[in-house]
Amino acid sequence: MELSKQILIGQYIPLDSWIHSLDARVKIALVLVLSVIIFFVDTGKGLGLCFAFLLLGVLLSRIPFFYFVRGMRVIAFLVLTTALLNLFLVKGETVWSWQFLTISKEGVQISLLMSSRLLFLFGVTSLLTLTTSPIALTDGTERVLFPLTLVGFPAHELALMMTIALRFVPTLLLEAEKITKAQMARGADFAPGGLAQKAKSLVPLLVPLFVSAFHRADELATAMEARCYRGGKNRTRMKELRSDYNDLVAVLLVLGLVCLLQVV
Amino acid sequence: MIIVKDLSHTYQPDSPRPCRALHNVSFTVENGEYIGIVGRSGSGKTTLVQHINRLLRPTSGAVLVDGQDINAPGFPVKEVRRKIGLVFQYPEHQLFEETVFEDVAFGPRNLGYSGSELPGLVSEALSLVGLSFDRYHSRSPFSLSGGEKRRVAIAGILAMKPRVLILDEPTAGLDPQGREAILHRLERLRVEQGLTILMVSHYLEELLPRVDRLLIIKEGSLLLSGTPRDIIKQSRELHGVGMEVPQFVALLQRLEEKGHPVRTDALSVRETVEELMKVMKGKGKGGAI
Ligand SMILES: Nc1ncnc2c1ncn2[C@@H]1O[C@H](COP(=O)(O)OP(=O)(O)OP(=O)(O)O)[C@@H](O)[C@H]1O
Ligand SMILES: [Mg+2]
Repeated sequence: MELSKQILIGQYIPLDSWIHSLDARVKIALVLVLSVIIFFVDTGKGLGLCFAFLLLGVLLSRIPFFYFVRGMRVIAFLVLTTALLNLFLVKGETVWSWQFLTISKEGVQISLLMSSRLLFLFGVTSLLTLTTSPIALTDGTERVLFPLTLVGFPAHELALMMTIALRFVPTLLLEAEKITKAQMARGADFAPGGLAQKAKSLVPLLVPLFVSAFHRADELATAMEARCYRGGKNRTRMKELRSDYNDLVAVLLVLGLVCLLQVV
Repeated sequence: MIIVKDLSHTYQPDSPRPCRALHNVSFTVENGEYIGIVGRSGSGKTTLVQHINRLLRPTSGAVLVDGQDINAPGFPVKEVRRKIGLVFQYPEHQLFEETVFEDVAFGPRNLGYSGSELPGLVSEALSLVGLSFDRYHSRSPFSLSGGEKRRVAIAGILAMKPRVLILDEPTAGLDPQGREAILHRLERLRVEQGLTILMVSHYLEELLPRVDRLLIIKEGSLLLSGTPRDIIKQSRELHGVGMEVPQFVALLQRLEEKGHPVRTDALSVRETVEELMKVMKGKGKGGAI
């Protein structure tokens, strides 16, 4: 039972690739653009193009393809539910029916479309978090959101919260794994039983996990205080984000995709 | 008897960065033996001991307990957990119940002991770690001091009546008295109940005078194994794994270098003092060291 094996989000893989070397701001902005664009794509050809683009990204990032695909299993449930609901609930020209279940042509289309969009969204976001160190990621987010501070949006605080959350996902997973093992050594069984039984069997895992999470939060707050942290005002950075022509190439690639999508 | 045969373990074998934590470790533990496991941080000690009660499965190799392969399909896991108690590193982090009694009873309850047997088991286990049942059983584990929590956690394992007790750095972060108390209680347990003990530690000093055999792990491999006296003589190898011989041994070695006829395999300060006294007497009145 190794939980950390299964979840990709927040798991940065430091490799040396073209995608890794791009400026975090640019990557975030492009991911935002792609996430919007995917909702305007409604043809098979368009979707194919988008996924080909994602595949190109994965290849360029040097992340092993199967490792990437396995990470997608996390949302398999969501994608399947979406697909099934749309498949049966969308009304239209009936192509198949059995008792009260009917499938329409529109249902098939929409269900394919929706699940592909979800997969694509999750795919590009995973690619972003896999290739961008959490620090660069939040730095980038803060910069991308900066214009909103003019209307009072707490960009720095949000970025900080995000850093901390991302930073602690793997830690908490490891912790959960350790506690699970420790309770299994005491004969605990986390597998069988109905829902109530299952919920009850999680108590020995969740209580220590929360206790340690609160401890960590406390320690972190103290550590930040001790280093005179006082919010984002007037803070400068040790590592400034820099863009170079590579980032321009990335932007052009995405623009190219957008143009192509217009054509097909 | 526990036989570990060619045990290897790789964490996240098919990720971009697999971590080979153990390779080809083999050793045997006889019933009633007291074994010390030493190695630098990250050398694979925790990984090793977690294989012995099947919390981890080997990537290759086998673990045999009383002649049976515990990883064989269909082998009852609970049997392993009943026979072999594993006290984790910082076990106080896994306390979760509202009272000390409930927490110590968690293990036995999972093993199927009935409600009427529990008070006996719990009070015996608490007294083995030196906590009074009457004073502690109804307190919240979270209101205890660090050392008390640690002892409650150890009691939680002892209450399951294991025949083999594995402890992963049971004395880490305790004060010298708390450390001594735990080590002393372990020795008594071993004598009184005939337990087999495997103990992981960073402190050679606390293992040397107690254990029958030491296993030295380096980067996932078994570097040395032998009686404390054999091991302590190989100070160069120990240095190689980032372990220094205790200061009293270093003292004896220096004396030997200077040509004094001393044994250098003392296992405790007391033995060192005895050895020094002997040498000083032998030298006669004028003999200055
Ligand atoms: N769950 C895990 N996933 C991936 N790698 C791990 C995991 N647990 C341990 N490792 C790695 O395996 C190696 C051995 O770890 P292990 O915990 O066995 O060391 P240890 O000797 O117990 O160290 P310490 O003295 O610090 O407790 C280390 O390099 C560690 O990074
Ligand atoms: Mg360890």
